[in-house]
Amino acid sequence: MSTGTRTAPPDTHHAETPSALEKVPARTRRRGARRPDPLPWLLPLGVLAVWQLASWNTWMDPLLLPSPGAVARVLWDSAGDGTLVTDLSASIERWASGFLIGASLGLLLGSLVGLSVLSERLLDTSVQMLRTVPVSGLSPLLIVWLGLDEAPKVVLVAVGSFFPVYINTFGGIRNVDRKLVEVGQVFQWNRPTVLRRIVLPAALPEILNGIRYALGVAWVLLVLAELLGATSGLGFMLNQGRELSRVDVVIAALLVFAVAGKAVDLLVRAAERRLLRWRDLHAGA
Amino acid sequence: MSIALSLRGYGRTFTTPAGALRAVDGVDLDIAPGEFTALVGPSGCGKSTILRAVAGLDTRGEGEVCAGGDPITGPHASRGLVFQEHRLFPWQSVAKNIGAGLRGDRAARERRVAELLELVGLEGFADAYPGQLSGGMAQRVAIARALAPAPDVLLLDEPFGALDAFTRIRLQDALHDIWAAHHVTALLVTHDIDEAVALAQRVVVLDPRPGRVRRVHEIDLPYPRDRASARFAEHRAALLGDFALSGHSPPTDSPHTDSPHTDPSEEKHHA
Ligand SMILES: Nc1ncnc2c1ncn2[C@@H]1O[C@H](COP(=O)(O)OP(=O)(O)OP(=O)(O)O)[C@@H](O)[C@H]1O
Ligand SMILES: [Mg+2]
Repeated sequence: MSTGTRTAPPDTHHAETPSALEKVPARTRRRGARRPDPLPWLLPLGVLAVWQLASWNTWMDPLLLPSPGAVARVLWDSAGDGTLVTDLSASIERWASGFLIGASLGLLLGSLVGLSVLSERLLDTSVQMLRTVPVSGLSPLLIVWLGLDEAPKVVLVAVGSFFPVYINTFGGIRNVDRKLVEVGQVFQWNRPTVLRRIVLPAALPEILNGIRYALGVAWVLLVLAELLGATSGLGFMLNQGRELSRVDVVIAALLVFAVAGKAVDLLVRAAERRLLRWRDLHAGA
Repeated sequence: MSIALSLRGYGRTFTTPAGALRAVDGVDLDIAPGEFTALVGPSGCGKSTILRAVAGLDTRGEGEVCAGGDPITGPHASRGLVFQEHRLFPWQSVAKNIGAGLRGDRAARERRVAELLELVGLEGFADAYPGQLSGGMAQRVAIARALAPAPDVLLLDEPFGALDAFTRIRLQDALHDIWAAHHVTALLVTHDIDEAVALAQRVVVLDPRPGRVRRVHEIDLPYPRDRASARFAEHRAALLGDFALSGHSPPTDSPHTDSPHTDPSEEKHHA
């Protein structure tokens, strides 16, 4: 067959050609969909209003429910003397290193088990068994083994991050449509190329789901680990608040948790939107 | 005369949980370079099995399957394959999909993709994703993807089966134009007798269980073919008669609903 161009086919073949789709480029449509939506803010603002009202009218003992202003003052002060930054960065460091270790292992082992039936037979039963152990139950063991240092906290977070990533990577790879893999065969792609060009992108949505879930789990386990003993971090801030019966400090710490958690979630969602743009378009089409 | 594709005593038995299944048996077929051949027959008569053997996706049959005189041992860039479902990569743009099978330097690949976009009339859709395309457009992209490496042989497995009648006829015309302009050897599997008569120079009718060649019809009508002409109707009637003889209700040209068997359950998961 020649590689030469040929004159365009007669018009009858063109009835479906550039139409509405072309006039509305994908970019504009996406930007349109990302207009900030005020609705999600309604509930938090409502809660804040009720809270403010409650403390104005002293519906509850101010020692049990401090005013929003008191909490804001705690945040302001701790931001001023640098403790907030210290605690927050200590927590984020543990959380990030634990997550990175756990998620990488999950990705590695999940891929291995997903790609090779032999390693599935070898590993999956054991991993699934371990998965049924509540991760938080590991903390006593970790403390006995690793002391009260950074290590048990990071390990706990890592273990918690491992399983969601492992399971979703495994499942994502196994669910790759064999028919698409056959396309790679027709093009005579070798195994690494099939993995890179078909298996990975096809499994990516599920893997990213696992990662997002793991990030949440990691956050929760981090607080737990810090509550069991730490000299810095948001969990430490919580502990201090409890020991000094400072509810305002406790609430402030929880607020920072919520905001930081949300920020991470937004980040992941943005990454997801970038990586899975094709799915966005699909849904919006 | 040289031969583009040839099958000699091709047969294929599948091992299924229910026992051995003789899907194809003793098929002999020679296809000349540049010829347009259609493979028709009732569902399950082994059309896809034969096509997969020629594509090199299934090399476990008996007999000889050759391309250009050499035994087929696997897929090759000289043979392009269009599946019944478009099988585009949903995470890649139309242009990337069309270029998927291309090697070599980037500029040459881009030029080739642009050519093919024009060939299938989708110039404005290079950056669209498969999810944004209609079924007919997606199938055109799939054809462009198969044509991109400039194969000598184009294999098509019911490529228009899932499309509505209007789109189907339009794509049939487009396929004819591509074949005529590029002198590819085309082997088209279809359920649709009208499609076979409209496009093919020879129509191979298969018998089911096991799949055997019942008859080979020569369609000597000049192109472009007038689907409303009396001679077209004669060929159609002759082919329909073959189906009646084989004890199967003749297939109609409406989109069929049964899904063809494309999943080689025999082979382990790719992993
Ligand atoms: N990988 C496989 N394992 C087991 N049986 C198979 C396999 N592939 C095909 N078959 C069987 O072989 C026979 C022929 O299948 P094939 O897909 O070639 O039919 P076909 O003519 O393409 O049918 P259709 O028109 O419905 O697509 C069928 O009975 C089918 O069930
Ligand atoms: Mg079939």
